[in-house]
Amino acid sequence: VTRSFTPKLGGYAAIAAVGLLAALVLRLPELVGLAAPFAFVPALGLVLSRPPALDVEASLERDRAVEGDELDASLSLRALRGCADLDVLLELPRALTVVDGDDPISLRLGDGEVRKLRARLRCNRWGAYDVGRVFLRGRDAFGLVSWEWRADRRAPLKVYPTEEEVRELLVPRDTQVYSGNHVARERGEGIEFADLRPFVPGDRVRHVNWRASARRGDLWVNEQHPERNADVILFVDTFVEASRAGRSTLDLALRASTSLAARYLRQKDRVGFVTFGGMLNWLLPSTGAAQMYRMIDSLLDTRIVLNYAWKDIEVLPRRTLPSHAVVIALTPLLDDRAVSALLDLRVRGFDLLVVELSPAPFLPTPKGDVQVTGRKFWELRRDALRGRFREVGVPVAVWDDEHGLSTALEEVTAFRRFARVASA
Amino acid sequence: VAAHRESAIVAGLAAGSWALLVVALLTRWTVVGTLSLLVFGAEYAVFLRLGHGGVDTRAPFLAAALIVAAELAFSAMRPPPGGVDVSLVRAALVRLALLALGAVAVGELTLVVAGSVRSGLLEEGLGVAAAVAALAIVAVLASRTRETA
Repeated sequence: VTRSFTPKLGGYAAIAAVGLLAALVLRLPELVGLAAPFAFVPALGLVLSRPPALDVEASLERDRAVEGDELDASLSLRALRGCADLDVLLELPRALTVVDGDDPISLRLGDGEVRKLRARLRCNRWGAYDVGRVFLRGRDAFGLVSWEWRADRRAPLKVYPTEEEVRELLVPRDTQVYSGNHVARERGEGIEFADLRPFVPGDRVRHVNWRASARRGDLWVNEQHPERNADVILFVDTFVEASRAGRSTLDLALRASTSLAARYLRQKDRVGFVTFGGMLNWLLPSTGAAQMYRMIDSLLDTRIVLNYAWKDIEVLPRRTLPSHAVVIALTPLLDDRAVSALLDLRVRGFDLLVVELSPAPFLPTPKGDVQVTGRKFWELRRDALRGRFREVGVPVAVWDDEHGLSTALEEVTAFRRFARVASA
Repeated sequence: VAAHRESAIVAGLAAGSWALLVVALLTRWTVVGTLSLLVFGAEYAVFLRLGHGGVDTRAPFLAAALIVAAELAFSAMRPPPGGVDVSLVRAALVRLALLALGAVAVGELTLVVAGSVRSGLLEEGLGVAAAVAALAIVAVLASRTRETA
């Protein structure tokens, strides 16, 4: 507890001193009457003052929420020794705002009194937060002495990003060995018809295509594509971000990551992620609901950390990028290190898809000929960059305000349908 | 002409006091607030010097008004809280009323004591000692509060 005297004590003492002195010098008893209360109040206040003693409890309605959700924060104050004037502030991160209730609030607590305060909070932005640090400032009845202290009752609050609408997922080029929902390119036991071939000893009779066999006079069997799962790696570029008015490309990346992860995991695919930037973070691919929670919890810690060191894909552990995995890169394409790493991945034979989180909506409107021309050059350079990816068979879909994530993914699907994907 | 000039000084001090108070409230600078109250006291002292010579019986009421003004001014100069509980406002109003009454009582008592005591070197010495003692008590209490709190 930090104790201090308020400026009021000094002010009153000064008025009393000057008033009494002036009364003596000027021989005016009225000034004594005028100054005496200013000496009397501090004397009385200091005699009666005593430090408050409180039990503080803070709690949140729940520890998980989605962007835009509202939840209650409760504060319970029990006064072992009351306080005539108490300021209470529940420290909130910038992403949380009070929509109902007062924070900070000033109140009076008598001895033994219990007060419960409630504030309705809105979660404006995804992230992992600690909420519950309470700052208190008590004053004596005359406001002459103040005591400041804080109660740390922090509890974690995870705010998940909202999911983007994803109509159709990207189909991976290669599949893994476990059963799943993707039609594999290989042939084997499955549902999707692949081809016909002559019967060989050991083939099951139920695979014989009797119509084809009758036509050709020999036994022919059907071949199928098996349904397999895939490994999906979400590659989030966290070198730099473009942001404006509380929104940023990183928000888009996180939103897309969680939406895609949820959808792929529902399809029994193994999903992992890599955040590649100033700080490296990864999660090995796995499947199931637990992986979803692990992934979101890890993604919530994603931050842009400025770093000037050159980083390439070699810094990533080998197991984070399994062979035959489809790598979906979510990047604003603003940092050369990320671009270089992605091209490196493609060269190494990964099935790479780039979803460009367009920084254009976050830029100010160009004013004047110079800025307009500059913007055009910038857009041309970005087009050229996209061209570099397309040249090596990597589709680049732009996700901006005009085009939703679904549209961007459909662009990628269309590119892959009509372009021949080079295999490493 | 002299009376007119002295009235102008009183009016000037009053205007200065109000101006300082406005500045203090706008800037939340408590030193200026204190200064404005002191200037008001100076204005009253000049007013008394220009007066009829008898003891001004309105002084206790003026003291009550001044302490109420000071309490309100210092409250207004505090950083604004987000919300204020009703119980706090109620307690502040009661405290303000009690302070005003107390100021009247203290003022009246002071005037009675001042009127009944003969003037002399000894009495003046006692007055000085009482003033110093009053301020010393405040200082001692303040230091004790700092140690024990």
